[in-house]
Amino acid sequence: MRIFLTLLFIYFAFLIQTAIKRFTPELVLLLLVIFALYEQKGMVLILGLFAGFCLDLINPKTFGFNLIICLVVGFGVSALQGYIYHGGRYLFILLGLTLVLRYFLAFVLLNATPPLIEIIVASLIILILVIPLHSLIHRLFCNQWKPA
Amino acid sequence: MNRNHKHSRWHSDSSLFRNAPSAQWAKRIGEGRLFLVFLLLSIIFLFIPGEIKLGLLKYPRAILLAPLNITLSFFTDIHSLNQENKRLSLLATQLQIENAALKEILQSKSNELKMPELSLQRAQIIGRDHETMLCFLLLDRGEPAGIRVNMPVITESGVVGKVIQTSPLQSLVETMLSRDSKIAALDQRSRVTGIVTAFKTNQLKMNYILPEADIQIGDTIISSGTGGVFTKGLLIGTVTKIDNLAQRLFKDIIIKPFVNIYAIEAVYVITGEKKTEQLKIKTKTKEIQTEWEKILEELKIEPPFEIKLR
Repeated sequence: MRIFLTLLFIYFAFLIQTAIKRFTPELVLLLLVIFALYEQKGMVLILGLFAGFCLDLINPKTFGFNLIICLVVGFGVSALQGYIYHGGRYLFILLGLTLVLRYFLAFVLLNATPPLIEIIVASLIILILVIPLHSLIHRLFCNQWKPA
Repeated sequence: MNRNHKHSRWHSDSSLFRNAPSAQWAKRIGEGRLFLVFLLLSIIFLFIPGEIKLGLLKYPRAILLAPLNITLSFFTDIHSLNQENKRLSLLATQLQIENAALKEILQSKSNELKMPELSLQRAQIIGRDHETMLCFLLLDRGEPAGIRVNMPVITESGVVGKVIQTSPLQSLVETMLSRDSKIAALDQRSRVTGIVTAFKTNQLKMNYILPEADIQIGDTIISSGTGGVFTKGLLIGTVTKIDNLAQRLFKDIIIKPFVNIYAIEAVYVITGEKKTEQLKIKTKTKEIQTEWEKILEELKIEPPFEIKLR
């Protein structure tokens, strides 16, 4: 049941991300990083595959690009989960690295160079959303939902 | 201390699916091995030709993005003002095209009036590709709305791109910012022709322009209609920069598109030219009336009755 809920979370994030017109935050990657901190590698691989597949549907000509990013990010973060503290500044560092990897691979593999302002604003939105989303997911999945 | 406590607490319940069967299955195969296999598959997918992938992903996309269609159409129906806005924007687009066509006629100094009425299908953008900086857009209208592959997509300001795939629920548009996009174009003032392709972010480039060709900064570039996809006279952009290097065979013409693809919310698909019966009848009626007037003039008699032609 919970796996479907997790996939549903990623799916909704994908729908929101797709519908946003400008300064699109990488919501799917953010959720993937958060889930990868708590999940076993096998599960993270499934989540990464699903997230990458969804994101690649919008741009079918470069299908595979988001799959690579989501798999690498998911597996990489889940490999680190035993070594790092799951909140605070480590989450910001992980997300920062993820975004750098995402834009770097977009430049190398697709030769896509988004305007700097787009990258900065989208990254700022993501960094603002990290804490509330992380605590929401932690409450929902790890500690059961307890309304404040 | 407090932080250590928190840390251990989070670790104690860290896995959401510790005993999930799929996780055990992954463990049996070997997570590292599985990761490498998936990664290899993704890399292979990346290098498969785009057309094959386009065909394979047609139905998964239609299914997975169907909720966006439903949600967006729901919100669109709520606002009654939106309908009025739609009607007015459609009118504006038609007038814009009409205007462009009239300019075309004036420019070519042609005596023959050929003004195609275009039939447009309005569609809402429900998805955008952010990886390649808006090379693809997803529309909420598909085959039932009469949208077919290779139909031009425009807004009130000018060309957006063309439809590259359709499904019953959505259509995929390749914008002119895509590297594969090529539009046969001409300078509205000097009639110099070339091919417009994508250049840098939100910029276009007009290719195959000889150094002696008369193109100036500020010139309007329109579609020439020779490519077979885009109707003649659709606005593309204005010339912002001209690099005429001595050692080059062709000039570099940089164009700023009229349409800001980042900002558009709805587009129009040109589904065909309306060479309707009504138009034909109107022309025929005019012809008959002039002929009749000529005959009356020759005979020098007053018309005994009013001529009414339907």
